[in-house]
Amino acid sequence: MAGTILGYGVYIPRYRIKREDIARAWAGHARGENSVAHVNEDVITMAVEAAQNALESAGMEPARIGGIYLGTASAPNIEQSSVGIIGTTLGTGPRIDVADFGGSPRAGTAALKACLDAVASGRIESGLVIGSDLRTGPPGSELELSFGAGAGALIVGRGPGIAELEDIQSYSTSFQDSWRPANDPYVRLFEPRYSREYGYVQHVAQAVDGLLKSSGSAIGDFQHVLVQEPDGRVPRILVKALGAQAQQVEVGALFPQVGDTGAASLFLGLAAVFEKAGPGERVLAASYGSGVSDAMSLRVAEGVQKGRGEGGTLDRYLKSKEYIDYTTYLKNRGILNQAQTPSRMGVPPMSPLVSRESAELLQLIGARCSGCGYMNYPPSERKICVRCGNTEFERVILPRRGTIHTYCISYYLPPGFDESPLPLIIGDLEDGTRHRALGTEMKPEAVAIDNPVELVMRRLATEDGVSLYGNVFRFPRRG
Amino acid sequence: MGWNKVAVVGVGLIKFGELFDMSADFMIQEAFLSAIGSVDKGIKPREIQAAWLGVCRPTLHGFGSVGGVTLAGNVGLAGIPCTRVENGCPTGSDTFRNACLGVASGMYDVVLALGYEKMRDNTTQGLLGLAAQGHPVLQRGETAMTMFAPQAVRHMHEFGTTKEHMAMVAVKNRRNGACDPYSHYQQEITVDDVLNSPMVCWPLNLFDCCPQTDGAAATILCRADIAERFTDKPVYVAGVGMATDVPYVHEKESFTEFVATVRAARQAYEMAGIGPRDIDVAEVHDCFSITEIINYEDLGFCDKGEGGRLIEKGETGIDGRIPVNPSGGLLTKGHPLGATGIAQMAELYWQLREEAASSGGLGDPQVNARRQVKIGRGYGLQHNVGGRGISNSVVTILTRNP
Repeated sequence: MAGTILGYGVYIPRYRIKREDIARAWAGHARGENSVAHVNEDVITMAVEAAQNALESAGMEPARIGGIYLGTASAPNIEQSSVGIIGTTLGTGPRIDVADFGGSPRAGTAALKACLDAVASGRIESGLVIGSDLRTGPPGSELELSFGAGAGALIVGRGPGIAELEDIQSYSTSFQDSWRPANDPYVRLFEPRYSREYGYVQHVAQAVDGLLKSSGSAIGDFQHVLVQEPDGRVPRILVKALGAQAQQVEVGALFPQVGDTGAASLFLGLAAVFEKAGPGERVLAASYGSGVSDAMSLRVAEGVQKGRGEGGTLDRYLKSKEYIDYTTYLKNRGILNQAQTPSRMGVPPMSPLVSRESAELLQLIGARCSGCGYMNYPPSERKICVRCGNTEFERVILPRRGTIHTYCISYYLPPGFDESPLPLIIGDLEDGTRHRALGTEMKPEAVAIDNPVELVMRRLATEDGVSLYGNVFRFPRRG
Repeated sequence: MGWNKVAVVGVGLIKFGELFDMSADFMIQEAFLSAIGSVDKGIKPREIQAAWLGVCRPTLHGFGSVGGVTLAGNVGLAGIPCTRVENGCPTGSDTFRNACLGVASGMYDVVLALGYEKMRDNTTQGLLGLAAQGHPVLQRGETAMTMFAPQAVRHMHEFGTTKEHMAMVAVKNRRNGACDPYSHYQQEITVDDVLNSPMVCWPLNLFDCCPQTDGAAATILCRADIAERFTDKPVYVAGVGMATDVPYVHEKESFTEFVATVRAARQAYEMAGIGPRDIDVAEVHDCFSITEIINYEDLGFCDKGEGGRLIEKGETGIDGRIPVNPSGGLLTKGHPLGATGIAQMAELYWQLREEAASSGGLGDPQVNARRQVKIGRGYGLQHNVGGRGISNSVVTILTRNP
C-alpha cells in the first residue's frame, strides 16, 4: 500500500448561500455558509475542473493518466457512467482503467483505494482520483443547512511527489444513518446526533485506531488530522475521541466556508494542508459514510512546495465568491422549477451527433488548415477548410483563455434556459481562434469587449434525464 | 443598360399583421388575387407557366414541409411546375431571383413568385424556439436577436455608433410605415419610446426589433420583350446578386459587416451597370435597427463606420439623399420571412412607377403619398440578409428604365 500524490486540484462553485438565509425561510438559525453549484453545474462539471487543476499541479499530460476513479454520492444518473465524459473532456485517451464509486460520501476514499491498488499492482503508472458531490437536503431540514458543493482531485503514482501515502485502514459495519432512495432527490437523515456520535465518531475512531496500530503511530505524531466534515461539530468531537489537539484539525476545517462537500470533503482538506504544510509533516485523514470509514496516513514530501500558490488554488476558489438568495438556491438545485415545458432541442443529448462530436467539442480540438492556417472548428464538420478550401489539417488543442471580441445578453429566452440574463460571447482565444459560447456566472454590467474570459465545461441542457455538456465562457477564477 | 431580361408586370400583397383569422392557404390565395388584379392590361391566371413559392419555416404553422403544390394547388394552377424556396431571411427575394432565372433561361415566358409566412399560429416563443433548433452545442442559446446583437455591440465599440442612432432607424421606419397601409404597425414612435422599451437582448430594446408578423406577397414576372402585353409601365430587373458567407458565427472574420451583403451588392451593381449613387430608393433588411445601419455601409450608401451618422443626418428619410425603407421596413411592416423580400419588390414597383399614393388600392391616397420618394435616376434597390450564420444575402436592383 504505497503510492505518491503527484498532484492535487480543487473546485468550489462561485456561488455561496449564507446559512442564515436558508434558516430564515424556516424560522431557524444557523451560522456560516455553503457553496452552491450553479444551475449548469453537476458532479461531472465540478470533477472536470478539479481534475484539470490536479493535472496542472502535477505537470502531467492527460494522455499519461492510466485510470480515472470517481467517488460521489450525487452522480447525475443512477445508471450512466460519469467517468467516461470526464475522461473525454480531459483528453485522457480511451485505453484506461475507469470506475465510478458511489453509495455514500465515503466513495471518495473508495476511489482512492482502487487507484492505489492499481498503481501498487503495476497495472497503471498513475491515476486520477476525484471526489465530487453536490448533495441536496430536503427543504427545511438540517441537511439543507449543511450541504455544500465541490470537488477535489488527486493524481496518484510513484516516485517523488507532494506526499507519500503510507497506509490505509478501514472499518465497516451495517450502521444506517442517512440514505437516498433511487428516485428521491433528497438525502434523508434519521437523526443528526445519532449519526454524528454513533456513525461518524465511532467509525472514524475505530478506523483511526486500526491505522495507528497498523503503522505503529500515535495520534500525536500527526501535524494534521483531517476528517470528512458533515457539520461543524464532528471535528471538535473527534478531536476529543481521538485524544488529539484542536490545532491538528485547524488547517483542514472547511465546513464553515463551504459546508458538507461529501466525497470532496477530505480532498479539499488535503488541498488545504498541501497549500500550507512543509516537507516531513504527517497527515492523518479519515472519511466516513453509511457505516464505513477509511483512515489513511500521509507524509508530506519535498514536492509540496513546487508551484505552490499557482493556478486554481483552494484559497483562490474560496475567495472568489458571490452570495445568492434562497430563491436562486432553490432554482439552481432544481427544487423550484419553471412550470412551462422546456423547448425540445433539435436533437436530444443522446443523439449520435453528440457522441460523434463530443471529444472535439469538450476537449476543444481545432483543425488548423495547412494551407492558410485558419483554425477550423469543429474538425468533424470541416473536411474542407472554410476559408481557403484546402483539405489538409493539423489537430490542435485550443487554449481555453481569451478575451471578449463582442457579445450580447439575452433577457428573453424560451423555457429551458435557466440562466437569465444570459450572455453570449464571441471570444478570441489566446492563439487567435474565434470561439462562440454562452457566458455563465456573469453580471451583465461586467461583460465588456476585451475582458478576459476562460472556457469551462458546463451542462448546457438536460432532456429526458440525459445531460448535454459543452464549454461556456466565464471570467477567470484560477489566477 | 442593365440586365433587363425580366420585367415585373404585377404585384400584390395582403395587409401584414397578426392575422389570427386567416389561414396560410387563404393568405396565399389573397396575395395571388391581388397580384393578378394589379396587372394594368389584365392577365389570365392560366397564362402563368411556372411558379416559385417562398416560405422559410412552415413548422411555425404546423407543417413540417410544404413543397410547391402549396402555391400551385391553392391558386387553381395545379399542373404547372412550382418549386419551394427556403433561404433564411432572404427566402422571399431568392424566390423572386429563381423565378427570374426561370424566365431568363428562356424556359418560361410568364411566371409567378409568391412568398408567405404564417408566424402567429404559434406563440411568440415559437420563433425563439430557434434557440433549440441549431447545432445543440455550437448554436445553443441562439435567437434571432443573438445573431445580430453582437454586431451592434462591436459596431458601437469600433465606430461610436450609439443606441440613439439605432433608435433613429426605428423612429424613421415607424414614421414611414404609418403611411403604408400594408404595414403591421401604424403608429409613430419617438427615440425615447425605443430607448425605454423593454430590453430584449442587449443592446437591442423591443422597438429595435421587428415584430412577428403574418403576411403574403406576390409578383408576376415575364420576359422583358413581352412586357407591353401586360403594362405600359413595366419595371425591369436590372441586376440581381445572391451571395453566401460562412456557416457558423464563430467563423466570421468581421462583426461590423455582413460579408454576404457586400458580395451580393457587388454582383447586383455590376449586373445593373450602376453604383450606389444611382439608387433613388432602397428597401433593405432592417430586422433590427442595427442591421439597417450596417446595411447602409455594406450597400455603399456611406463609408464604413458612417452608418450612424447617415441616419443622424436624416439622409435616409423620405426626402433625404438616399431614402431607405419607405414602406416602414421590417421594423414596421413586419418580417414574414417568405413574404418579406417579395413585399419589398412590390414597394419598389410602386415607388418606381410613382404610385405609392394608390398602393394597390389600399389605404388613404393622401396619407400613402407621404411616403412617395422622388424618382430621379430610376433605380430601386432591394436587400435581404440572414439565414444560418447571417450568411445568405440577396440584392436586387429594379429599374423603370428600359
